Amino acid sequence: MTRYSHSGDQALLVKLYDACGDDLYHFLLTLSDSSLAKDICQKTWLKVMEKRHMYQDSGLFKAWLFTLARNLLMDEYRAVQRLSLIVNVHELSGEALDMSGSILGVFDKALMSLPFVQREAFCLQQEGFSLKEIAQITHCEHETIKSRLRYAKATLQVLLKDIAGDVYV
Amino acid sequence: MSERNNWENDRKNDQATESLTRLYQQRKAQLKAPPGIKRTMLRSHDSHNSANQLGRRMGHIALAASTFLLILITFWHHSAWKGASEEFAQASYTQVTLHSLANKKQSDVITERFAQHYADYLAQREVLVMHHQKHAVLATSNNGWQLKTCDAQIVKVSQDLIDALRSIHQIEGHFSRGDLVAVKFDKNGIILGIEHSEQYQHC
Repeated sequence: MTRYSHSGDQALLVKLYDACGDDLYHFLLTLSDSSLAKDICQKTWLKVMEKRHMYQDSGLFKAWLFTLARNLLMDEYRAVQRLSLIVNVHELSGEALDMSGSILGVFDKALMSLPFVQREAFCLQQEGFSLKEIAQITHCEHETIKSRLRYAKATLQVLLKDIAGDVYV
Repeated sequence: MSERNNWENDRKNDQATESLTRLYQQRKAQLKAPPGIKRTMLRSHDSHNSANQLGRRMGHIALAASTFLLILITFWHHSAWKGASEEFAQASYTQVTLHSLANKKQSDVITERFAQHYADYLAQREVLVMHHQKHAVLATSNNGWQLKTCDAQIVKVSQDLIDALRSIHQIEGHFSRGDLVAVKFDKNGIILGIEHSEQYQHC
């Protein structure tokens, strides 16, 4: 990213996209629907191009990318007044995928049934971010993130056991 | 027993976390980003670069135009100043007089006029010298004054003039015979005033 931020070379941008494009889309898809996820993805990459000179060399590109995307998503929700109150965040659900009949379908159902903030924290952790990075991306306290992760995992395990039974684990 | 339970719990938690991670990765593998996003991004990158290039080009054009405009203004200003100077010069020097040696006939006339002027000058100088004798002795004071100067000349001053000078306070005080006086003349030899003089009479 540092090289791209200096040169603006398209080949470097393609490499960055190949490394993080799918992860970003999956993260956004888990927190919204396919249409909004696609829209926010495009806006995020556009922002990367526009603000490449603002990229801090010390930071991880993926964390910066996800921060941009998460901010855009929140702006979008606020713009359509779907996030007027923080309570509403818990009510936001992503698009359920058609994976019925498989353990993956059960996992998807369980994941999408999580409250927004727990789903968000869980996804970010699965993407390899540390607690500190998740706290920075979501602008939350470290302890809050820990709590959200604990609840998210516990809920998922319970739901998976309930729905999938012995197939799970 | 308690340690064994803890170990069992930890092992189960690890397994559960691994399972969640495995499921998450499987889910992600099935939900790839649509190719349209990449295409749009690359198209945007091209247009973004084009816009940047266009912006840079516009910047260069603007800089060149500004420089040209600056040069034009400077040139125009210089021309206007120069034009004004020439105009001023023409306005200030509309008459030209020619000075040269005159021909012989004219030269005789000039020589004659010059001689006349020189004679007048000498006469005036004589009068001036004569009448700028400031110091004199009052010889008589009946019906006008007679002033004897050092070079044995007598200057007569009429009573009317004495009265006139007294009226404008150019003669003040009492004068009697033998008094030393200072007589003030103008450049034409006209008496402007008479007053007592303390200066010693050499002659």
